[in-house]
Amino acid sequence: MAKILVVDDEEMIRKILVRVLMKAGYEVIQASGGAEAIEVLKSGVHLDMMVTDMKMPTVTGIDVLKAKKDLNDLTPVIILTGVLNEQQDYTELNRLGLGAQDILYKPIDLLLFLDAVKNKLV
Amino acid sequence: MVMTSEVIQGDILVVDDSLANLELLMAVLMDGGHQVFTANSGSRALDAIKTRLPDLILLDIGMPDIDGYEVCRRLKADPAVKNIPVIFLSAFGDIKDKQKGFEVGGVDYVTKPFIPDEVLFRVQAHIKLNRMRVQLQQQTVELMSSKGQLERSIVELKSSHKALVQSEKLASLGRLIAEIAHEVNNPLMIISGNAQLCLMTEEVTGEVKNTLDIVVDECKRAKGILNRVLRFARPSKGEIKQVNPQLSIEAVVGILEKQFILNNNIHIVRHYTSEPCFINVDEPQVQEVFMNLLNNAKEAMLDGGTITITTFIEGKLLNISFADTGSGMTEDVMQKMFEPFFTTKENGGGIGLGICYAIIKDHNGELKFESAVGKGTVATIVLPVGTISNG
Repeated sequence: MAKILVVDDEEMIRKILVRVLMKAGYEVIQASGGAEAIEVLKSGVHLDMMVTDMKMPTVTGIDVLKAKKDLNDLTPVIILTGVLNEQQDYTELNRLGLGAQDILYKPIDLLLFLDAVKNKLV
Repeated sequence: MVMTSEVIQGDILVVDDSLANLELLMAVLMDGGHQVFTANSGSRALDAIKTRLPDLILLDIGMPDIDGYEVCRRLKADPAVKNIPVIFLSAFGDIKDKQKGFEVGGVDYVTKPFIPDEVLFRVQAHIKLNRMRVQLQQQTVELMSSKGQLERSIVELKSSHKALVQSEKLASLGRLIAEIAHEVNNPLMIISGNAQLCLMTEEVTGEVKNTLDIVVDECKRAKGILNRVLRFARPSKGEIKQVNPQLSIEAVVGILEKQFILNNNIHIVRHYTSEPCFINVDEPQVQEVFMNLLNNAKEAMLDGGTITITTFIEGKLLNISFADTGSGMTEDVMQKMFEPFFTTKENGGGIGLGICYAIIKDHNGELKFESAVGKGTVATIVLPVGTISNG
C-alpha cells in the first residue's frame, strides 16, 4: 500500500485529499504546514509520494521542496496550487532544480488528481 | 542725480525749414554726443525716415509744405515708425498749439527760442524712456511666450499626473485582485472537493447528483474567471520579437473580416503607412489587443458600418488607429472604460480594455480613445518604433 504525505495549511482541503486518497486505498500522512512537512521528511519515514500546497505561511511549498532536495529525497511530488501562471511556475521550479512530477491547479478535479497520483507513483 | 552720469546717445532727425535753426540744433545735439541728420521740409523728413530710422525726431511745426502736425500724424499712422518719439519745436507758445502737438502724437514740446541744455535734457529723457518702452515690450513678448510654455507644461503635467494616477490605481487594483484570486481559490477548492466527494458515494443519485454537478461546474467557472482576472492583474510578457505591424494586424483582420462582412455588415478599410517599420513586441499579446479593439468596434456598430485601420509613423512612434462609425461613448463611459469589470454589455466580461491597457503599457506604449456619441470611436495604439538590432 503506497504511503502519501499530504501538505496543506487548510484543514478542510487536507480532509478532502485524505478522504479521496484513503477511499482509493492509499495510506496517508498529513502535515498542516511546511515546517511539519520537513519534519516528516527528516524523520526518514518511507514515502511513496508527496502532495503539497505552495502558498503556506512561514514555510512555503518552495521551502519544503528545497529541504527535500537537500535531503536527497527522491520521492515524487505533485504540487497543488492556486491560479498561478503555469509557465512561470514551471520555469521557476526548474531553475531551482525542484521540478515536480506534476502541477494541478485548485480547485482540482478529484478524479484527475487520483489519476495523476497513480501515474506518478514509482 | 545718479541718472545724469549715464550718457545717453542717439540718432536724431532734426526737421526745420530754417537753416540757422538746423545748424544750431545740430551743434547742440552733437555736443551732447548724439548723431544727427536733418531735413529742411516735412516731405523731406518723411522721405528721410524711409532709409534711416532715428531714435528721436525734433520737429518744427511751422513749415511751408507739410506742417509739423501733419508730419507727425503721418508718422504715427505708419507702424514702422510710429513708436519713434517726436518732440515739437515751435515758436508757437500758445497752450492750444502745445495741446495740438500732444494730440497728434508728440511726446514733448519745446518753445523757441530754446535753451540748448533744456533741449538736450528733454532729448535724452525721451530717448531713455523710449528705450525702456522697447525693452518692456520685448520683456512682455518673452513673458507671454514663457506664459504659453508654462501653460503647456501645466497641461502636460496634468495629463501625466492623470496617467500616473490611472496606472497607479490599476497597479494597486492588480495586486489586490491577485491577492483575492489566491485567497478565493482555497474556499473554491473546499466547495468543489466536498461536492466531488459526495458525488463519489453511491447513494448520491438523481436530483441531488444533478445539483452537486452544478456546484462542481460552477466552481470550475469561477476558476476560469479568476484565471482571466489574474491575467489582467499580471499580464505576462512572453518573447519579444521584431514584428511587422501591418502583417500582424492583417493576421487578426483575416480571422474577423469575413464574419464582420457577412454577419454584421461591417467593412474594413486599410490605410497602412508605406514606410517600412517594425515594432518590438510580444506578438500574441499585441494581437489580442487588436482583436479586442476590433471586436469593440464591431459591438458599437449594430447596424453595420466601417472600421478604418490607419498606421502612421510620427517621430519614433508608430500610431495604429481603429476608427469605427458606431455609437460612440459618453464621457462617463470613457472615464470608466479601463476599470476592471467595467462593461456596458449585459454579458460582457468587462476586463477587455483593462487587459489591453496593461499590455500596451507593458510595451512602453499608449492606448488612447477619442469618441463622439453618434459619430464613432477612434482607438489609437502608440508604440515605439523598433531600432534595428544585429541578429
